[in-house]
Amino acid sequence: MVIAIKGCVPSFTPRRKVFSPLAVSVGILFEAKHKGPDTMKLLLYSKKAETEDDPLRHAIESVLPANQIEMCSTFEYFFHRLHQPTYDLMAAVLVAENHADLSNLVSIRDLLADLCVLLVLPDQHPQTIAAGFRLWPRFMCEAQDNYTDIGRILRKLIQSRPPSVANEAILTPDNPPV
Amino acid sequence: MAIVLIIDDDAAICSMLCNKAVRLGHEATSAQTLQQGLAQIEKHPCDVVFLDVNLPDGNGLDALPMVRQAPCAPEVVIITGEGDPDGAELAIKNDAWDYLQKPFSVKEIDLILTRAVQYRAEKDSGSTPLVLNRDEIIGSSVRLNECLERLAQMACSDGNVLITGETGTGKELFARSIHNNSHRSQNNFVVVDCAALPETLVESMLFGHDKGAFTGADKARAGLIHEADGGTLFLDEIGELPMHLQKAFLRLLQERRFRPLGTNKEQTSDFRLVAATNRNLEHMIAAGQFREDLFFRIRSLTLDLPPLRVRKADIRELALHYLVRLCDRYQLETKGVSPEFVETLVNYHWPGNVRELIHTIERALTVAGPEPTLYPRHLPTNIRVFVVRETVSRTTKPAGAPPEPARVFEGRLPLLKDYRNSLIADGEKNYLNELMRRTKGDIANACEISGLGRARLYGLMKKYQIARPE
Repeated sequence: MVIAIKGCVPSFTPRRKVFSPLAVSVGILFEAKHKGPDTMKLLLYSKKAETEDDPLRHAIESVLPANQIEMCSTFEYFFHRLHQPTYDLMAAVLVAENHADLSNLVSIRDLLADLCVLLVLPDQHPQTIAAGFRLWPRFMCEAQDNYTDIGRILRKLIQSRPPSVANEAILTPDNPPV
Repeated sequence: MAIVLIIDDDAAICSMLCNKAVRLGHEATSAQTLQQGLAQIEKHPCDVVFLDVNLPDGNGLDALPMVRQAPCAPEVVIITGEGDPDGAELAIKNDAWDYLQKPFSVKEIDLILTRAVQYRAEKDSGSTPLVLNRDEIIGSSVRLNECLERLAQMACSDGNVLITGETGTGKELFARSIHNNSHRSQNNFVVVDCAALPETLVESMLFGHDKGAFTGADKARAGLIHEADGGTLFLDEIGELPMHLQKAFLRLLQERRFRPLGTNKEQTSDFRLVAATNRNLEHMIAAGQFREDLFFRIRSLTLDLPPLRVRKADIRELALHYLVRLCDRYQLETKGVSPEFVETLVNYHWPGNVRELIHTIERALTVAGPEPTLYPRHLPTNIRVFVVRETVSRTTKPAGAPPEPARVFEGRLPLLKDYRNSLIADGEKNYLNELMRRTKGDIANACEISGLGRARLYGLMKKYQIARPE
């Protein structure tokens, strides 16, 4: 049985039928446990994430294979995704479509605190930029930009990523789950 | 009046120092062994400790961090009959008040004791409690409290801050906390990740640019320095800042003026700089990779964050805090932990520090699934193996381990120089083996982690016949 979550482009398909939020979490944790060692992924939050000709998606897919990109096209699913383990995420690209969307992101910034956030803002208004900085992003640009810089940063992140000691203890193939 | 403790196996020295301290109006006690001394510090807090180096049951220099980490955190004056520059350096690095070589004059003792007591009195009277928002900084160990004290001082000042510490020790967390507790907290906290930004992008990101300043600059853009006006500019991994930008950044720090790319007009920005690095900038300066003048400029105030392995007292609190937080985040019932689970966490060495601990808890929750209690079996295998090996090696002597001092000293005593060299060789060999294991033989990465040059690393590998892993 597949659980369909609106706006979700799942990177893996849950196999168990689960009902309550607790059961959903347990189910997801169960899945994560049995997935085995994983590669680092990128989380993309964008309302246009499912659009084939989205230039941002193209910029990202020019650097990372599609199976390493987890896409969330609704805030609800994105919020839900942040309630699952995030240690396999190397970065999150967040597109704030408008000010309300940006406010939503700022309201959950504690869930984003440990992630390397690349942020796309709706405009360059000083207040918008100030709100963006509240998410402690590693990079910010505007929706009208051509996103080549995001691709370059992601490429550098991937290239310069050493087998970090922190992750080595957790995610290497010679360290499978018990 | 201060309380003075003398730890020395020489009764005459103890008596002389005790008399001197009493004559100066202090209370003085003495202990002839290290163990007695440590027990006394634990039972009766003291202000100043005179600590001999060669004690019957241990070395005073080795015990110095332990003494400093006692709840009363006494000032420690190292006293030794055989002064050597390395020992003196080690003492000062471990936060000793002074290093004295015997025989010493009464006048010397008088001055040192008076100054140490005066310092403590001033420190206590000046330490008006500050209301500090700790944010997510968890723990209550002596080392962490010292860092929080520094953080509070930094938050009150406006000087440039350099935060150092291994990866995962929480440098960004402390940087945010400095900002949040400062008068700039209402303005932007701007992160510049020098390691993540491509070299060609850093300059335009920092300084901003005009339309047409370079290919692809299709519109003008304000730089991060401009955005940090009135707030804090956090330069993460400053050691990665390209050399030509170090010069430009130095000028900015000196003049507080900058010019966006493609413009002639200078702008000003009133930002507070907080920089962080896990690299040894002094080594980088020696290797010509970092500007000395910039180094001096950015380290008006410094904060060296301790690795988790030296603040083991915090591991339990950290683990429980993140366990509750993660269970809440995953909408799970809060799980229990077995004492063995916590014990395993405490006994691990955490090379990835707090970040690794958090990921490990997250991982353990994933592995445990619906099970209500976490046991060591839910931890990654490498952590359990490490802890078990450590436990076993404490009880049995593994093959190839360095001989225990008592056995070495059974026969003819070796020359100190030979004994020291053999220990250094063992240490270097162990370090390099571990380095190769972790980097999987990646020489560039190994050089970065160890701070060694490529030639020196190859030289040492050849010397100890260490091969790169396949």
